Amino acid sequence: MMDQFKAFETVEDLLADESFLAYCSGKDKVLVGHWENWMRAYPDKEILVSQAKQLLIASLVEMDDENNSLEMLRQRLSKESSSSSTPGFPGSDDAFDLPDLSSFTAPSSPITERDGGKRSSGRSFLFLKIAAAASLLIVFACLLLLKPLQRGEQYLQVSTDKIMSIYLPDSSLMVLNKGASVRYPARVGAAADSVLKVFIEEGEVFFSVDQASAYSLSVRTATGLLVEDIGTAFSVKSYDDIAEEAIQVQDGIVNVTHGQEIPVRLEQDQALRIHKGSGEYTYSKADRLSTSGWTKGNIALYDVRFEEAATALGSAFDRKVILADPQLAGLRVTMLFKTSQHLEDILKTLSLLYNLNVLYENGNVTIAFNEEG
Amino acid sequence: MWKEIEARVRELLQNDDREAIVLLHQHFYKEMLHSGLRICLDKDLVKDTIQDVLIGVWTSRHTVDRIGSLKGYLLVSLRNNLLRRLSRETRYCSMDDVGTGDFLCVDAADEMLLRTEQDTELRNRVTIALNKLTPRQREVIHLRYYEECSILRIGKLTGMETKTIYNTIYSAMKTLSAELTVCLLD
Repeated sequence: MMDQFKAFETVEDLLADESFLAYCSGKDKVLVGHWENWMRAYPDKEILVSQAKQLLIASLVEMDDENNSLEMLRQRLSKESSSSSTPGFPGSDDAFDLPDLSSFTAPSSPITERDGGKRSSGRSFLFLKIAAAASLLIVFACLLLLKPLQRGEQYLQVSTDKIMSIYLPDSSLMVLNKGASVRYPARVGAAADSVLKVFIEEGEVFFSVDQASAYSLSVRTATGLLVEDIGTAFSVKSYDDIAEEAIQVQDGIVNVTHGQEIPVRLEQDQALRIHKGSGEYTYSKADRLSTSGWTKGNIALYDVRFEEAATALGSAFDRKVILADPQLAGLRVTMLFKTSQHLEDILKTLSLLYNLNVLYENGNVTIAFNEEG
Repeated sequence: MWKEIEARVRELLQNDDREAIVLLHQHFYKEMLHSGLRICLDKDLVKDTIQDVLIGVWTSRHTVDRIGSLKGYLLVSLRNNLLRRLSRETRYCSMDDVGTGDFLCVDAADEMLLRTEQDTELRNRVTIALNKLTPRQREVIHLRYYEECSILRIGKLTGMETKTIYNTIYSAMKTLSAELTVCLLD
C-alpha cells in the first residue's frame, strides 16, 4: 500500500486517484486508516494532501447549484410555517442539537457567560428530519436495493458498478464487492443472542470485525457454508456460477463448517476453497492483497478456477466474460491485476500464458482455448 | 455589508417573515457549504445539515436578539450538527482540522470566521480558473467530482476514451491547482 502511494507527487496525481477520493469521503474505515498511515510515513506529503482537499472542496462549492438548495429550503420553510408551534430555542438532543443561541457574541467580544435560556423541544421538526432522511434513502437506493425482510432484518444488494462499505450493528466493517447481496440483522440482539448472523446470498464480502465488540460474527452462504470469526478480518466469496466457495483470512482466526463436517480452523494468510458439488477442500495461500485488495482496485487471485478469474475480470471491468470452452472453467490460474489497467492488456497476457483465444463482440468477451496452438 | 444584511435578517425574523431565512441562504450558503465540506466531503449530508441549521434559526426567531453574531452561530451550529451526525453513523471525518471529536466551543467562532474569508478568496480564484477550462473539461470535472461518476460512467455519458478522460481531468486539475498555489502563496 505504501509503495503504491509513493507515486503521488502533485495535487493532480492525488485528485485523479480513485482511492484518494474515497478516502476524502471518510466512508471507508480501512482506506482512511491506510491513508493516515501513509501520511505518517511520508509527512512531507501532508501539505500536498491538504492542498488537494482544499481544491476539491472549493471546486465542489463552485459547482453546486445554489438555487436548487434554496428551493428546497423554501419548501421546508413553507411546511414548517404551516405546522410550527411556539418558536423558541433549538437544542433538544433528539432534534437538532444546536448550540445555545445566547452563547454567541460578536467575534471580537470575549465570551464570558452562557445563559441556559429557554429550550423548545424542536420536536415539530422531527418529521421533517425523517422526510429528509427518507429522501436521502431514495437517492441511496439508486445504488442499493435496501428493503426490510423478516422483522429486524435488512437485505442489501450492491449494484454491479459499485463497491460498498457499511458498518454492521456491532460496528464491524462489511465491504461488499460489485453485485454482492447479503442479509443481516438491523440491530444486535439481546445478551443471550450474542452472535451477529450475516447471510451472503451471492458475491464477495470482506469483514473486519470490531475487536471491542461484545458480539461474535457468523457468516453463512447460500450453500450452507458457515464461517465463524474469532476476532479477525476475512473475506468470503460465494457465487452461483462458480463451483467453489472461498474463505480467506487476513488477520486472526476463523472456523469454517461445511455440512456435517468437523469445523476447519483457518489462520492468518490461509485460504480455503470448497467445491460446492463434491465438498472437497483445497487449501491455498492468502494475503492482504487477495483478501481485501479488491476494495481498493487491486485484485489478486491465487490458484483459482478460471471461471472465478473470469468473474473477477468481468466485475472489475463491467464486461460480460463468457467461457466458450467448458473445460476452461476448471483451469487453475494465479493472476494479479489492477482495475486501472486495460482489460485487453490483461487478457493478452493470459492468452499467451494459457494459449487462449479472446474474442470481443457486442461488449462481451468470449474466451476459448486456442485450437490452432 | 454583512452587518447590514444581519440587521435586515433580524428585522425580518422579528416580523415572522420567512424571507429572513432566504436572505441568510442567499448570502451565506456558499460559506456554510465550504465550511461543512471541510469536515465531511459528503455534500448531500452537508447540504441537508445546512438546511436543518437554517430551519433551526427560523424556529428560534423570537429569541434571535440574544445572538451576538448570526454568522458565528450558523458556522458553529453547522459544525456541531455535522459532527454529531457523523458520530452517530460511525463515520470518519476526513478533514484534518476537526480535532479529536470534541465539539467546537464557541470561542473558536473567531477562527472559523477568519477561515471563511480565506475560503472565499480561494473559491473566487477557483471560479476564475473554472471559467478558464474548456467546456469539455468543465463537463468531465463536474461529472467526476460533483456527480461522483466513475470513469467508466463518464466514458458512457460522454463517449470519451478512458485515457482521454484521465488526461482531461489531469489537465483541468493542473489549471485549478495553479490557482490554488497562487492563493496559498499570496
